[in-house]
Amino acid sequence: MKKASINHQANYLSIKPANKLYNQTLTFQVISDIRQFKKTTLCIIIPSLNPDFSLLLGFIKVIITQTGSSLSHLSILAREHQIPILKISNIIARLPKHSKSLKVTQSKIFIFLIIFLSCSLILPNPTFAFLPASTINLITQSNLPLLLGLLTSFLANIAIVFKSFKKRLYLLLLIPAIFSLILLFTLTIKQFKTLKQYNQYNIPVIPTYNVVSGNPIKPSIQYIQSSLPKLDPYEALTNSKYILIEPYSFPSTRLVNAKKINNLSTQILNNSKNPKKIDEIMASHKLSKKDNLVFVCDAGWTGSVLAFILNSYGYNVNYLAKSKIPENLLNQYLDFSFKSKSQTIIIDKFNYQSQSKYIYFLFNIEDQYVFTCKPNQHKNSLFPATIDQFTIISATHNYSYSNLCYHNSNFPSQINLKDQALSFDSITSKDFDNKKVICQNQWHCFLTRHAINYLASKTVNKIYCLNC
Amino acid sequence: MTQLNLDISELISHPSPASKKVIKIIKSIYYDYQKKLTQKNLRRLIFITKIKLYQKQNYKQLYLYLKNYQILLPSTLSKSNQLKILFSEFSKLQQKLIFNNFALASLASLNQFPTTSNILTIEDEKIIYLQKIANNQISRLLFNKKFGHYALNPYELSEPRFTEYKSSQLKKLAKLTLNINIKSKKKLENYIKSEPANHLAILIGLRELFKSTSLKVIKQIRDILLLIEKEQRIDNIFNLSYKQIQKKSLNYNHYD
Repeated sequence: MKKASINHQANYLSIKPANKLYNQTLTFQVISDIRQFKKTTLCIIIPSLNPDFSLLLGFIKVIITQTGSSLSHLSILAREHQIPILKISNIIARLPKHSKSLKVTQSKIFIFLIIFLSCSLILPNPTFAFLPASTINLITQSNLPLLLGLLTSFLANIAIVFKSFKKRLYLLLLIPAIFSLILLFTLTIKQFKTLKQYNQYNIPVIPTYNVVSGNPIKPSIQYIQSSLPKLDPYEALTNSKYILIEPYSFPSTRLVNAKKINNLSTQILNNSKNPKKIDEIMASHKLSKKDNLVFVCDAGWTGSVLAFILNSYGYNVNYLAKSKIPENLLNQYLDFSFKSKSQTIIIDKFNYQSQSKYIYFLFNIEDQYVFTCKPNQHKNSLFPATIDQFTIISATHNYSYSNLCYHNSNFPSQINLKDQALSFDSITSKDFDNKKVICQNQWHCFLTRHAINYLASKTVNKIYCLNC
Repeated sequence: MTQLNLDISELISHPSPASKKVIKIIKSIYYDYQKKLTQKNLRRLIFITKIKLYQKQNYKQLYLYLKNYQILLPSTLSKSNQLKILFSEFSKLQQKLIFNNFALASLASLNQFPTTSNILTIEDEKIIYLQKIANNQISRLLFNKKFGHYALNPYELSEPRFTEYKSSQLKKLAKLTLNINIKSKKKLENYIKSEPANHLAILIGLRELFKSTSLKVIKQIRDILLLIEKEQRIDNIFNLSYKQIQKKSLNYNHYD
């Protein structure tokens, strides 16, 4: 005997079916007159909610009707007697032939949670030791959509449990859940691509401090000029060896033990994936893992990254800079590609008198300084005057013009930065074939090198680097 | 304003030709109201205001109207005229009933699932009386007085009324109701007097009261039709349309 199945698509005119009713086999009878009713029937299927059927409420468990409203007399009485009335259009014609019993089935909507990703929020990172450490960092950067997705799917699951939820609200909850999952998915894909990019270059994927046990990055000591008399960080480092990366940044007279090592940063960065080579470089400068080292640099980027790399190989390095670089920014910093071949592109001479149009690299102040660190150096020089055209190349296009003016009085006062802003791609077009690209940053600025690498790969005529 | 759907199959399933007159009356009243609602003019505004007022307090007037409702049908009138008067009375009642239903639908639209009725409706009382009949607690006479004008598929003129049922037939039907548990509730009159907040229940109660009164008229129509059938020796009068019945009754009066 065939068994009919009545699913959730019905409208409930009285009450929703109780849980115990689902999947229960019910004998049914299609009737249009109360006199046709057999007492063994548990479910009646009727064409309309004729009030006569209210006399049968003592026998039946479910009423299925083709038409009717929740205000019908039968609906009101059925509500009082906890008997569900399901309104399913054209049900009588759709019933399988010779069927005498039916099942009321419940709709089930499954919400797939990305359990693996959600665990990364709760569990410590070493749980995912089988993955590169930085992968976790990258994934957890997209916490917000993940949290949103988890929250909404959690609420939706509660709704399923209690079943008293209204369909429309349920759908409203599903929309942000789906949206956040899509967002999370796209973000993760994007970040995995970045991760892949890391591996193309000679930069190691540095585990974060809580993964590399025993060799944490030492906290940086912030050098605050205004509070120099009160706090002298050098005194705290009397037993350390100082390595000056950017000697102009600090008054070297104050640093008694200071030692300037040319190209140390380049050597470390280029061999950052080769611990043996790094040990050789350090040994050549008579530096060992037992020494307390301090890398002194200006803005903190170079020093912090070098400390980052060396500490992961067991060295004991602090960095001294004007500003503290937050660890989370170091991850971002490592996103910039770095090729050893870019060293050859750097030209250490710069012709101020050139008549060509120049393109300036001006990066966001948070990434690297441009004018900000050395405003006095260019003051009264010919530098800005020789520039026919300023073109700001910025990834974000959000460069603050006021910052530039503040730091460099010679900067042209009339410049529409938004109009001038270009992307890296645009400077490789034919219009720029005869122009010189001037990088005003220092060569070991990662951002600059990224740009230079990019341009080198796009075969731009000449790339100049100022102050290299 | 929520629209009310007219479900004729719920009202009369498989109507006989004679009952089509009943359907015609109900349909014309329903579409007249529906027209008022869909029009964008002053009539619509007046109609909506009337409904709002009815929902708030004017239902009391209608309750009093129903309570004191009586049909004065002079026996001197011809059967044809009696039928005319009865159908006209039925039409008046239906006008009020459908208006009540519009008000009810509008009020119920505020709640997705209207609450269960707090009052003992006539339909509830009918079930209680049937249970009493099944348990031999009341006499047939008492039942007939109160619910004799009811029937299965009650708006269908050809359906026999409960008064026409044999005792065994009625008992068989009554036994179906034994498992139904009707909760103790207030009577409509007492409920209205208590000035309740839930007017939805009142309108539901009034709907059932209207239905009961309308069925009294239907029973009278049926009685006259059966008389005509008997006197005219018609095989089945309910197979005739209202116009045909009128013709027959006119002929009958002519020879009378």
